[in-house]
Amino acid sequence: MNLGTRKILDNSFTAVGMGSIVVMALALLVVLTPIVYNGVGSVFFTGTIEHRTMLYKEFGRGDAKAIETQTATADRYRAEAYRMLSDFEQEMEGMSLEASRQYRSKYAPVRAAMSSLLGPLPGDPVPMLTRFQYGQTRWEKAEEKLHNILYEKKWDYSDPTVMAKAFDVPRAEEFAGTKLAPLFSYAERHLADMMQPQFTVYWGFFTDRSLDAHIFGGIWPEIQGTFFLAIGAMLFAFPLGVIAAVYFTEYAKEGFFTSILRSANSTLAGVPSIVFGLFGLAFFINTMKVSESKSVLAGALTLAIMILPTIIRAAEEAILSVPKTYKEASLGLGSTKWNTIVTVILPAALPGIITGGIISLGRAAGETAPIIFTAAVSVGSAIGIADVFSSPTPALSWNIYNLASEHEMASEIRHVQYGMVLSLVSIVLLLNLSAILLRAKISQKLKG
Amino acid sequence: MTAEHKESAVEAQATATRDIYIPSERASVSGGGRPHVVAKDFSIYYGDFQAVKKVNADILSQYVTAIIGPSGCGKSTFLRAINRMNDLIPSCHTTGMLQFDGEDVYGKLTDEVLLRKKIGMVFQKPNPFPKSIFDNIAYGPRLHGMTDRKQLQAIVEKSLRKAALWDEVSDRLDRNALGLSGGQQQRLCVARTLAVEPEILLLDEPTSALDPKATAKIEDLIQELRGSYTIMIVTHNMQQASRVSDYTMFFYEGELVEYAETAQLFTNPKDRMTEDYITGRFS
Amino acid sequence: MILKRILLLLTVLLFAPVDGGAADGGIVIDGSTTVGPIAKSFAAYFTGRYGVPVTVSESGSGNGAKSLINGTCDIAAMSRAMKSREIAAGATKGVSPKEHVIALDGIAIVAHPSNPVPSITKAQIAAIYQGRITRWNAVGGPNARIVVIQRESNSGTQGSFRELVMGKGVKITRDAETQASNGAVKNRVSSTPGAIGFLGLGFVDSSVKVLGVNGVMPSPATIQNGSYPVSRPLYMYTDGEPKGEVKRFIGLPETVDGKRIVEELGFIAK
Repeated sequence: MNLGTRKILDNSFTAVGMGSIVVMALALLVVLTPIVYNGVGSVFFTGTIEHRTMLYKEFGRGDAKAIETQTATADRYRAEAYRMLSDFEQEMEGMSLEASRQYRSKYAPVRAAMSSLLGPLPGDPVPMLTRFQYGQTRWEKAEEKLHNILYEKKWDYSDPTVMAKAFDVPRAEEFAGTKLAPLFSYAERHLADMMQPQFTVYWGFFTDRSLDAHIFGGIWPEIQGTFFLAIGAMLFAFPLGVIAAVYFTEYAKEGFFTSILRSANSTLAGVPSIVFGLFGLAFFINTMKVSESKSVLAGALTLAIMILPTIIRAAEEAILSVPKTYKEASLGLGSTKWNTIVTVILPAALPGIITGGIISLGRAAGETAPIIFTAAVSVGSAIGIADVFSSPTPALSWNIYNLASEHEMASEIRHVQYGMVLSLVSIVLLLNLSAILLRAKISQKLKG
Repeated sequence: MTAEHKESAVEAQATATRDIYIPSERASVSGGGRPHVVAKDFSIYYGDFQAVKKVNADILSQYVTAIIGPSGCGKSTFLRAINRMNDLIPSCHTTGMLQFDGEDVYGKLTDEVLLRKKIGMVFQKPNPFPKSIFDNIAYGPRLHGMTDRKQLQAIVEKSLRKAALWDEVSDRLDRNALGLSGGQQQRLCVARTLAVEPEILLLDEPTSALDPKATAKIEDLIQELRGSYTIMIVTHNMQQASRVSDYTMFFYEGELVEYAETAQLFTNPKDRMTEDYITGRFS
Repeated sequence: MILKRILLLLTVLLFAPVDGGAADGGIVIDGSTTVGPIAKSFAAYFTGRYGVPVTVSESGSGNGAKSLINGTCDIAAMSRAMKSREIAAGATKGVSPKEHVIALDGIAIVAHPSNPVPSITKAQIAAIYQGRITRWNAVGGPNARIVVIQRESNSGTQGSFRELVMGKGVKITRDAETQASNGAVKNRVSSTPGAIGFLGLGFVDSSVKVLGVNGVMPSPATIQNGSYPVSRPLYMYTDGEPKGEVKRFIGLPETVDGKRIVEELGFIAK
């Protein structure tokens, strides 16, 4: 191969390599940007007076005085809107039966949209569900609802042979000439007055329980459940994994049996996590009956089985990478094999073992499938350390799925979903970061 | 080993007196000279390969015995057989007899852990543990049940002094041993071995990874320790063997070709092969 | 330093006093995603009022039944009646499922909002799901392919739909696409112009268009008076007669508050 070809080959290889790194970085950016942007929005957002009232009433937090004055101001502006509604309701009473019926069917969505924006209207009974007891707590949602008040989204079904197109009809036109007509421009002009938007930092998102199936409140039970499950899994898997790795590297005689064990271990590492989930249900809950129902314990055991192969492999490699000379030195001083393992080999292998462990911890925190049938519930309160043997728990990974796909109001609580995703990503990142730090620290100590 | 030598060794054992030639410039060692390690038709195999072939030799106590020979001649294997380091290699097994202080090294009832306590070893590459200097030296004593801090400190100091390292490291005993220079590390390894008070020191090419200055210090150290310990040193370096040792064994292709007093072996080798090797015809 | 802080944080997290209290004697509910909103709201109400923790899993009616049979839940929430096969399986394990109707629900037939078809007949729906009608123009709509969306076999809504619309033993076309929850069906239909799917009434919102069945739109009134043809009760099952807290929970749909919760969620109180 001549010099020119070699250079071209080298350069093109470099280009391809750089290219794939750039593609990866871009993909990461594309994935992370919305997560970070929207996730941050669950804590930092423009909140309305409804948010502050809700926090004060449900969690007893907030400045009672300020809320009172703001509520008073908001109520002054709302009263005007409420007056228009009741005026129109009276007006309808006096209309001809036909006209009244026509207006009533058009009026119902307006009333519903107003109630959705401002909370229960005067004269309405207090709803049972917390979600209907308050108006919109977030400003951008309030603006959306305002749009629903101002416009009716209609579909043009006049030609049944083509798919219809949507168009917005200003309701002000539909109610032209009635006492409701001024409401629309009034609502548009005084939305801010009625909602009292304010930049809000809601740290409680991480530390509050959820209210009414995550419509309001925070995600503390999920965060705590995630920690319980991940740490519980480590408590089982880490010691077992290290012991198994010691057996493989120091005690097992190379032979048929050992190689079977080894390939079984590698195979386990590649088994899809849902299989572990089903195994956990069948074995830990239905057969062993470690708990009456789903529980943190059963989930942690299942996750432990799932991460065990990874821990064994990481520990095995870490132990094998310990220089043989350490072992010789220790044995040469009259140390027993076991003592050598405990006092020399394991400490020297610790950085590698811990790295493997913490990366597995991150994986345990992020997995959904193994806990579906063994530990996760969509609604449940935060549990104490004493309840892990009997109680199931919500957990970030599963509840993200649940909120995004199964929740009846999934599209209304995107910010909660993103907040959960961001929390989960942060937790995993934090764990990996601490793994790196810990490893660096121990390596440094070993190097002197 | 020549027949005469063997006879004289056996005789020495029988009469408990010594009657062997000591080079004039090297002083005889009082109380030394009994056969400390005895090999009888001792062979070592790696699987089917016979790495050491029917060696017969007495290693005399308190003297320095060097083992020389070209690479792959089995000299390291022989050395490592004495404290059963070869046990780490699964395919390795032995035939014949190897005795230490009259005890069968490879006997069924022999506790290799106790054996290794009495037979210290220093390796080719300095291999301090990734721990502090203090913990390195104290590792052995702690292993054998010593917990008292004062006693440990005393042992650490004594061992480091014996290894001529104390003056260099006394102010930084808590520092990581891997921060020392290669020569210091090797002397630390010697000190670590001395801390368990062995009877024999096995040195497996202890200076091959060191520069000349550090090598000189190790050689000085061996001179210092001579007389207190039975020392066996495997070396590639024939000058080193002639400088530090009282007796020299020459191995070739697994066989012990010649075993004699160092001065005699280097000045007047009996075997043609030995002569060729020490004159540098092959290596 | 950072390490110590992380360790400290973890310790605090683990042993932090938590609100919610002991879960001893808590109620465990498993089952239908359709009944999910009711179960979750009842749970919140019940915990708030009586201080008894209630956990809710939404893993589907079939899994709810399995959990009850295996004794791993106190209440199985189901959007279909238990099958005789499941009751038999329970009997072998000493579990005798007791049925409680907690609400009525219409199965809304939904399409993309842009679809001009206002209403179809039950027979047409059956034909679409059997694969005999594949284009919207056969039911008075535009000439577009029908994307058939169904639920997974574990779903109670799927079971009810097949029973009410298709009749026993009639197979659904292999071209039908399967979604795992009401929410997933809603998402798929609202983003696919040619799609048809079915949802619990409580899940319907403005992102999908509800089709009338035989000219009747699903609403509390038409479901209660039986004129809407695709409606079914929603159930909770217990092992034998419920006792203690479970009994009180099962009694919620009979209370005024319980009925209001059901209605506010868009289901029909019985």
